[in-house]
Amino acid sequence: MAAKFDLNDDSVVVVVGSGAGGGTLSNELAQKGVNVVVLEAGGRHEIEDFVNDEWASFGNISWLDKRTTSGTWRVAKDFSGLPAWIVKAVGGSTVHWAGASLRFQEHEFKVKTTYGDIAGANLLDWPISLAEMEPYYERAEDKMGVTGTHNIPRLPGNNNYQVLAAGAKVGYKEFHTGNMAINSEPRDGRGSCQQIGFCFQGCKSGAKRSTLYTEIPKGEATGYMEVRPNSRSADQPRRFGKVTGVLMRRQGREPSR
Amino acid sequence: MSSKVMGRRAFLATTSAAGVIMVVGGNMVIGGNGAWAMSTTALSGDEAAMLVRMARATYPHAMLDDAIYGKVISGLDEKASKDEGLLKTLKSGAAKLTEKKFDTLDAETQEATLKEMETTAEFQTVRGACITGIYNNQDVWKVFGYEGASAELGGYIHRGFNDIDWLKDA
Repeated sequence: MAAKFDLNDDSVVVVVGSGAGGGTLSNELAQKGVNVVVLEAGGRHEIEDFVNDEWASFGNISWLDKRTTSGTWRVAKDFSGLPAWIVKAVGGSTVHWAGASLRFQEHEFKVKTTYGDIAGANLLDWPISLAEMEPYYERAEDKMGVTGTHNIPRLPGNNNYQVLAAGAKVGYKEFHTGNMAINSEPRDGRGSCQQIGFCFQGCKSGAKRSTLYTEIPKGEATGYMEVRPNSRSADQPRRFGKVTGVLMRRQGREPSR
Repeated sequence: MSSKVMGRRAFLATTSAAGVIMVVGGNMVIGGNGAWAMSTTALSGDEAAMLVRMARATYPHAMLDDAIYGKVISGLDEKASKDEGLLKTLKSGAAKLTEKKFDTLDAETQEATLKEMETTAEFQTVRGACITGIYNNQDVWKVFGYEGASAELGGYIHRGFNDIDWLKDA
């Protein structure tokens, strides 16, 4: 059962955000028996709340706060105040993402070395290597159930894919439907992809990995984790450079610790 | 331009489902050769008819009936009956088009006319209403062949997501 901590409890770990980073980290902490509170600015919309309608869904789970945008790009001119289609809700952008889960390749860790100095660019090499990251990639792919890894079959190709694949046969040696954190067969208590076609509006079958229905319920089940939706982190008071707490603002209420 | 290459818009506008739009009784707009009609509350029939033409010229789809564009303007008309600022903008837009005899222009000249006013509130208001009014209208989805929601039907996995058969020999 989900934990319930006092608003002024200063012994719990506070995680800001419940998406790919926050949702995953909170569950890992809870699994180790660490008390954790997750502050999520958006609401909690479960699978049954998702709608297979792009515009209605936008009003349901997107980041509805007005965006400010500037510069010369077209969006700044045509839709300057339109909210961004990223998700402000429990699960964050893992509700909205496509599920594509690719590893960096060796040369991508060394872009400066690979491409040299490019005028106008500021390329840098990563201070880490693929070899160092591989064990973490392994764990992440296993947890997320990424197709094409850990003997998980790839997803079947739709009509678009078949056309592209037919073209690719001309010269490409390798082509497939990608490394996707979408179940191609039942796994981790979730069913397989039904080709619904509305991945971005929230997966109605739960085949696509989202912290909303993977990490978060698992963390809550430990009894060490509480998710607080509609709770924006307003400020993090500091003392001698260390964060001493998190002020949160719940909808229509004064900030509390 | 001596040899006129037909632009995309001009092409889209050919064999258009748009017939002549008529206005009767001051506030009744009839289009689609009588298949569609709307009555206005805030705008006059002539103004609404002009804005319907503007909507079609902005997003020209030969396969869409006037009723689709009419619904967008009808929605704006209803809103404008409670919003004086909006009404003023719509009336001003219709007046500009009337002055240019928009209804008598060919598709390319209509496009050029709209381009001249593309940054104005008059144009942007109608354009904005068109985006959701046209492309989020389920009647339009049917015309375009977009099947829409599928979760309640079990998705497309058993309903043709990979059913093309003309690539067998590829």
